[in-house]
Amino acid sequence: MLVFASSDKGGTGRSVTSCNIAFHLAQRLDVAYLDFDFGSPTSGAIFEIPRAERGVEREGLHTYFTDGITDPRRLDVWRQTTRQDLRGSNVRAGRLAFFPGDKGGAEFGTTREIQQRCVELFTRLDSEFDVVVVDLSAGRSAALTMALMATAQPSMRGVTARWLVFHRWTHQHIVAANGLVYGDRGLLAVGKSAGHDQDTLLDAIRFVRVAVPNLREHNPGQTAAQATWLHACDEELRKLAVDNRLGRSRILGTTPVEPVLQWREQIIAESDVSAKIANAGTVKSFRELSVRLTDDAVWEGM
Amino acid sequence: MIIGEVRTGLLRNSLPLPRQAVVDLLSLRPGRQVVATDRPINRTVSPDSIVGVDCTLATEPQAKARGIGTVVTHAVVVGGAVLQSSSRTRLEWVDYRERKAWTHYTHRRGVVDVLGNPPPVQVVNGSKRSSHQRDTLDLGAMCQRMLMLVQGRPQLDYKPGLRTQPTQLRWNATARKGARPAVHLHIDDESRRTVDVVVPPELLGEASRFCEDLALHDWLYTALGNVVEQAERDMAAGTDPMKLLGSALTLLVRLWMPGAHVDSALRPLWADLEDVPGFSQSWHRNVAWIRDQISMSTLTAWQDARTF
Ligand SMILES: Nc1ncnc2c1ncn2[C@@H]1O[C@H](COP(=O)(O)OP(=O)(O)OP(=O)(O)O)[C@@H](O)[C@H]1O
Ligand SMILES: [Mg+2]
Repeated sequence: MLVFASSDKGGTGRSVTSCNIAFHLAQRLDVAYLDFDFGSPTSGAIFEIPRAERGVEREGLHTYFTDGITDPRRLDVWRQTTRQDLRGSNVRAGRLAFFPGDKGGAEFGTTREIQQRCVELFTRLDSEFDVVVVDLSAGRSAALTMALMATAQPSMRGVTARWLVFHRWTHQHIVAANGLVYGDRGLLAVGKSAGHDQDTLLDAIRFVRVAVPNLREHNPGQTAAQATWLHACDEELRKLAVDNRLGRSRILGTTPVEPVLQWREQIIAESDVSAKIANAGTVKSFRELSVRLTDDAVWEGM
Repeated sequence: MIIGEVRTGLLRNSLPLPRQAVVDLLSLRPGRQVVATDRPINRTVSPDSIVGVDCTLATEPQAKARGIGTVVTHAVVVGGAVLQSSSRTRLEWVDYRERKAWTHYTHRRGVVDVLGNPPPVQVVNGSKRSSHQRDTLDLGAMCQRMLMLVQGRPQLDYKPGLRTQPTQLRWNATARKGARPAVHLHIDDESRRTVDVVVPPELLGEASRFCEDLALHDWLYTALGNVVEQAERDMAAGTDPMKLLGSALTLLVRLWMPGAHVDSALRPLWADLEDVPGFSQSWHRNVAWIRDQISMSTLTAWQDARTF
């Protein structure tokens, strides 16, 4: 299964959330994580792999596409991460292979040949891994177009592809997420011209709401007026989400605001929770996202 | 001396392909013969694809080495399920310095002339490293191109019956007069292997077939080991591994026949491999484990049914 992580805006939490999802998936499945954010490949930092913090020196995914190398670099996260508590935490974990981008890479135009290389990479990795997570760059990027075109090819018809659209819980983010999916040159429009059936493609798209404040939690520092105002805002955003066709039935899940992630982009492991540094609810939300992502019942047509 | 690479993986098809479908699959060039053997198990070989090269040869430690000639690549399907692609070329040391007319090379298929007189051992060592340098001989790239060509053919349903990791096996075979055939297999990491073979000159031509057979079994062994691991993981997590185990049984198990397609003079090499890594023993242990799991689960299902 291929999973594409997209978002209209930058800095929404796309990479951090999808790295955490990949981490949970890999507890029970073989998982590949591809950094397709060619201009700013930073997922290596989230997995805490120093030699790939901002992409690798050579033979990363960018080189794979532009220079025609055969085997892009892959790093075994369990072995390469400097985070001790990720390493041996689960003896039965599946593989987690990280495909970094290149230092100093950039977006590139899609030629026929590059398109073909993309199809080859996806089919190769789909035959090898249970889940292949592809972190695209923000907005209507060349990477997104390439992914849509590749997945429309006849030789990919046996491959399941699912699309995640990450957004924050604000007015602008909701409108922007709508635009990325339903708007001009959006996912559906580009998908259609690439040869996708629009309804099928729409059924394969789910939204992820990132860093949504929890209003039910008691907050002693809050005045009654503030609380009322926040509830009204939240209610308004819910309506806005429904109007923008990203309501409940279209979401895969929600992540709470996590203080650790406000400070640092990282994997939230069970050890962070038992050390009382991260919230249990955050790990739970990542785990739920990973479960629902592979649960076919969640993805049945609407 | 011959250097080569074999890449092995599963065909992207839910079930093993019947014999004739495999012939169609590997009929990559009109008018060229596909060769199929049926005993003891179906093994079908595509026509050779010949690529001309004029490039640097990787060397370790670095030396000046230029190679001009041709590389031969073909695809092999075993049991309608496993796909291999295999590239190789015979290296011949020459003392001319300028490239000759192309006919000089095209007449000798699968031969690369080595210019610059580098020490052979440095060329062998260089061939073991993955060389993604531009203008350097890259057999892996030729293998991969062939794999992707076959995996994209319309005879397939593009749904692999099992998710497995492909392997890359780089090999070199050296001819030594009067030598007793010898093989050394080195496991570099979870997917890469290197193999050194020494044979008397009259058997050099058989080395590539042997290495393809070795790559097949090394892959089968690795894939089945991963299936067992995955099944144990499923069981620990309360997921039913029967579908996975069933697919492994149908797709992989009947393909284990070390040496069956190898020239009899090279079969003793298999005995050497059985001594040290103990291939077959662990293979059969894994197969027995899988069968046990399946029969236990059948038994449980049967008992459950009786209680109603
Ligand atoms: N649930 C959360 N709570 C608080 N902060 C979060 C949460 N999820 C992500 N963040 C933070 O948001 C910031 C942006 O996240 P991230 O880098 O993953 O976004 P992105 O969408 O991949 O950005 P870019 O477009 O730049 O690649 C990071 O500092 C991250 O730690
Ligand atoms: Mg990012």
